Amino acid sequence: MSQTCIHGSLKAGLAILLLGSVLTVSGCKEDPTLFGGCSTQDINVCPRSDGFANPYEGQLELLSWPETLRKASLQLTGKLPTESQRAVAEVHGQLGLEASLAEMMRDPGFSQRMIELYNDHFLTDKYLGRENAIELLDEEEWPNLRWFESRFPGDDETALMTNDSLAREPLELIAHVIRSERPFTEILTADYTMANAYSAFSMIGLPDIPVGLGDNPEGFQEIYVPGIPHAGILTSAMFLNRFPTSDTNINRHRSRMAYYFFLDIDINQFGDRPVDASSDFGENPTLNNPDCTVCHTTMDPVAGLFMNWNENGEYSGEGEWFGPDYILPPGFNGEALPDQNRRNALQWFAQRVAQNPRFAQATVKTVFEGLTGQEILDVTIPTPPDMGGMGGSDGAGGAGGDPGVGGMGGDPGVGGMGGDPGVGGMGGDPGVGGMGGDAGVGGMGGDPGVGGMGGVGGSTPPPPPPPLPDDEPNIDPTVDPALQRAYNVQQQVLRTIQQRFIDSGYNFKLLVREIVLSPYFRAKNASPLTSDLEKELSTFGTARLLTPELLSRKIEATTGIRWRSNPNRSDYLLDQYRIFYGGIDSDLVTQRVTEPNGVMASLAQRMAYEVACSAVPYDFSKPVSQRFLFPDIDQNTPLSETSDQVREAVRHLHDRLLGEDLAGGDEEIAATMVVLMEAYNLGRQGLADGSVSDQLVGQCRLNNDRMTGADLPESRRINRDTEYTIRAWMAATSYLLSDYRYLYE
Amino acid sequence: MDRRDFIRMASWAGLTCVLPAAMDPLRASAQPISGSAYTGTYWIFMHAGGGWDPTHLCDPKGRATENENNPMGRFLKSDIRTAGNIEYAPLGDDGAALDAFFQTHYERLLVINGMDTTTNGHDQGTRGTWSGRTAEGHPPIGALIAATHGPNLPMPLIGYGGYLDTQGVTNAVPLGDGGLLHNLAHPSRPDPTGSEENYFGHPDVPGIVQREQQLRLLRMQGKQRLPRIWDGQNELMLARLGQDDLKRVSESLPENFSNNQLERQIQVALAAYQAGLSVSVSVSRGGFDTHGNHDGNHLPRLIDFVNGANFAMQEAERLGIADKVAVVMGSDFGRTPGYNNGNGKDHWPISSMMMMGPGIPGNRVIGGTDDRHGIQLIDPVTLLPTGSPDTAEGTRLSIAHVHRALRNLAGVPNDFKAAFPLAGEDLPIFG
Repeated sequence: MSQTCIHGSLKAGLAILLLGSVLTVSGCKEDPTLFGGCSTQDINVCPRSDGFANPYEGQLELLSWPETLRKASLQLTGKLPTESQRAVAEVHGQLGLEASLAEMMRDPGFSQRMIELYNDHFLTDKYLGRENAIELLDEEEWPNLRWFESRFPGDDETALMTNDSLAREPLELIAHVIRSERPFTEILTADYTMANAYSAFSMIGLPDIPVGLGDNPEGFQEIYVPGIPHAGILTSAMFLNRFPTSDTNINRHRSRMAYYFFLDIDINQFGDRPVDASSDFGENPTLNNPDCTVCHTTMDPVAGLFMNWNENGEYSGEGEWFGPDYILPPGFNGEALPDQNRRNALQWFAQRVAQNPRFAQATVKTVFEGLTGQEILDVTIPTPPDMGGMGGSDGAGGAGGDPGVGGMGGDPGVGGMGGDPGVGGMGGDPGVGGMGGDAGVGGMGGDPGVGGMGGVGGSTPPPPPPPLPDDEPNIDPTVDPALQRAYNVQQQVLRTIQQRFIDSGYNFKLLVREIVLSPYFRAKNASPLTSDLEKELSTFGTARLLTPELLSRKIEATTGIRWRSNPNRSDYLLDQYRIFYGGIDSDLVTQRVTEPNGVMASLAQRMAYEVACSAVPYDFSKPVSQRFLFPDIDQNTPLSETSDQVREAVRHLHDRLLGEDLAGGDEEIAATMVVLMEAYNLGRQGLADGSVSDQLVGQCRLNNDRMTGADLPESRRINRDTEYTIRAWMAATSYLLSDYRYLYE
Repeated sequence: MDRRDFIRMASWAGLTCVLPAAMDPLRASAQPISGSAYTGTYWIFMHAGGGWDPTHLCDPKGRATENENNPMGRFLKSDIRTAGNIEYAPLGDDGAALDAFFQTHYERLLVINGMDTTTNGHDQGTRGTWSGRTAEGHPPIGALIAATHGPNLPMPLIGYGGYLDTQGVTNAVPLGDGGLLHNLAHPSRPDPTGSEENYFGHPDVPGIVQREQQLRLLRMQGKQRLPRIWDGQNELMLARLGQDDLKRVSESLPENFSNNQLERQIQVALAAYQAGLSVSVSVSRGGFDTHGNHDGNHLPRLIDFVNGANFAMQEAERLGIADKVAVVMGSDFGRTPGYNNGNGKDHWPISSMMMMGPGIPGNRVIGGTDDRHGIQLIDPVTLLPTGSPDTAEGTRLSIAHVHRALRNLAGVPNDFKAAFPLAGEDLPIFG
């Protein structure tokens, strides 16, 4: 890691002087990145993808390249594509899209989106707000934690900024690795952590430095906390607190989540064995009882690798762990932790995870599901680890244990290793006796009298943990053959993406690009299908209800306003309506609702009315060149079914809001015209008979800039709608804002 | 017929979806297949997240003397309280913190002790307690009951927490817990509790927008052949059908909400029931996974949790629907006998459930455990404990037994039972 200079927020002279001795900063001499020079202005330098053939050519209809561009842009940045991006996608197709994607992935909105995507898994945003992150940490370990109290007493904003900066540590690491196009494995292997000026003071303690000296004190950069063997997210205090341990859990939860997040292994799927409270669990069942070891054999060695990190996520550096008579020794994937790595066991672990193809598999899964909103089809039979490495095959468990720890035979029903009933393992002397499986029952076949416990002091190294499960699990033969074919096709595409990701040196941006190019992101429709083919194509086509965050950004991108009560308040969808609309708070609500219900439909309806009420007058008030919604028509233009100008304005709304490029005679244009004209005619009738006011309702009146709150000049203010044109356009706009194609992507 | 086929069949039979044929473009308005109000039992499922400690609740153990080694609890056995036939733990400073619940409701309360969840895993335990099976794939009982009695209601199952993987039999609706529902009940009105004026100044304009929305969705569906997208469009169409019904919930909401979140959720759920729109609600409180400082952290939560059930019944009484409301309380599993080195308690597969409501016999305890909260078998007729599995004959009371009984009591049809089968045999848990 380069330590040649400091850049970013703390480069101001005093900051450099004071921070130089403790901040380990890199990034000044950036190596050229894969996508660094690629843009729509120079598409020839862009790295090219081999793309994907349509696996059902002639039957599966894909989005055009410009359509894919719009969808990707909204998804990845929350913005509409630029004119140049649109043009290049139109002209150059896939190549143009690839160049546009490279630009998008440099947008700050992309970093924000990836943070959001990973928070859905890590849930560390639970600690945003108040002092939720600060309170997790021990001031004895972090003496400068509350540096702001002495420097800025009573300054709640600085306290909050410090808290939120600490809370964002793991997610900012992900954003940083992505942004800099470092190998994505660095989210685990990083020998640094991320902090900005606020959190750096808390973490490394420089209480004399006033905040704000840098040109961007809020910007995150790499720092090294002295004495801490950083291993990326694995050693993040926030991550370790979010997945806590206890005296009796002893890091097993952390182990399970590490397998789940970074290796795509759900240990809970290994066995669904009932725990029998009335049976004799025996001594230390997680070590000896097959009902328990089916999971613990894989889980516990990795739990041991967290040995130096306590329940508060603080590093002890003691390298101490329980003996093998209590829990399996630390290790991973067939390899025992060497003694010399006990104090940096997570770094040792991180290196091995990073080298394992399952890391790429897990990353592909996380990002694919995050971007498409659809779960990867799984029709396989869960595969527990092959416990052959633990000894005990054919009941000969632990035969070699001299004088170390004997092996444990697997349960043949799960692990595929049979022990003859009752034969059990020939335990080492005095090693842990092998547990041979009883083929019928899966009970403990080993004779503890033979096997015995112990072996701690033996000279032979303890047995390594079992290797990870097979990468290519068996398909459940009872599953419908059409779904089996669907699975195979999807796996083929995913494996291709995975290999390209690995070949690129784990470049995350390349992974995103490949997913966007894949038919799973682009599937749009199909030709008439047989029922078999319908099942086979059931994995295609994203019908993703936008999350509150995605919808909130889309509203701003397409209409030019944000849905909120005033410019000083948060967007409704990120605040009071977040949970209503299926969002998460990373604390009590951690699963998104992906199918709408009556409440969410009503919320979308209210959004459509309120956004139209706010955006339509605002758009009309702006100079034509700055309008989003009505660039070719004026608020006073009379509405008529036969007016080409009106029809063209409707056509523009379809394009702007829904991404539909329709001919003037299209039935959907006609349908929107129905909304517009029926509302118009009813309204004018009401104006004529006095039942309708010529004043807009208070919420729709425009006297202040919707985005800044600044007073508008008289010429831009709109309070009346004497011809009912504004409200008619509000009706047409709200019709489109609540449409399936607006609420879904 | 496998479950997938069943669900498909069920959906085509109108269990969870409306067919395009149910829409009449000529009338230009969307009509739900069935919109009748639900007036049966309202089921409130309360989940204590993390694994509760029945030995400090309805299966009290305590200790014989102040000096007892490795006690089950720090209260004295002699202080254990009773309400009718039901024993409960003396919690709180004066030992009376659970009195309000037990003394008020014991005549309606059924306690099931010594229930074997067969797991120490949180996910498995939560699934097991609320679906009857620890493995994935079964919907929670609240979803089955909701799908049985309110397939076309807009919010058959209100889901605030607990196990909500409905397996597609119905949707769990997160309804929010306060007055914002008024905004959603009247989406076209700037001031939903005041003026009836809408954003357009004309009462009929929102109707035009909504009518054309549904017609456009129908046109899109007619052209769409990828099942994922078609299903997504169908979801939105169905969701929209429930919009107007929110007005009825809004009208039933109390003027004053409780300051306690769980109690607010119960208030909203009962309002939804009063409006005839909901069959069940699942609420949850976390923090019960007390591997450290058990008494300090766990017991106050137990008291709050039980008080939540008490509040539910009080609210039901106030609304005049107490005889229609069923409350079922459970948790992931139990907690280990005795305390660990951190004064905490770890995971233990033996647990309890408490329930009351129409058809549930009260003032009754079935099942039991020994002094160390070890499992006891039961007589399959009397449901009384017969002794330890090592020495006695009898049946091991499982979560599947409880759920078989709940399904029967709630009238869950055989189709659902066959699609989501449970192990074991029927026991006369409700007589």
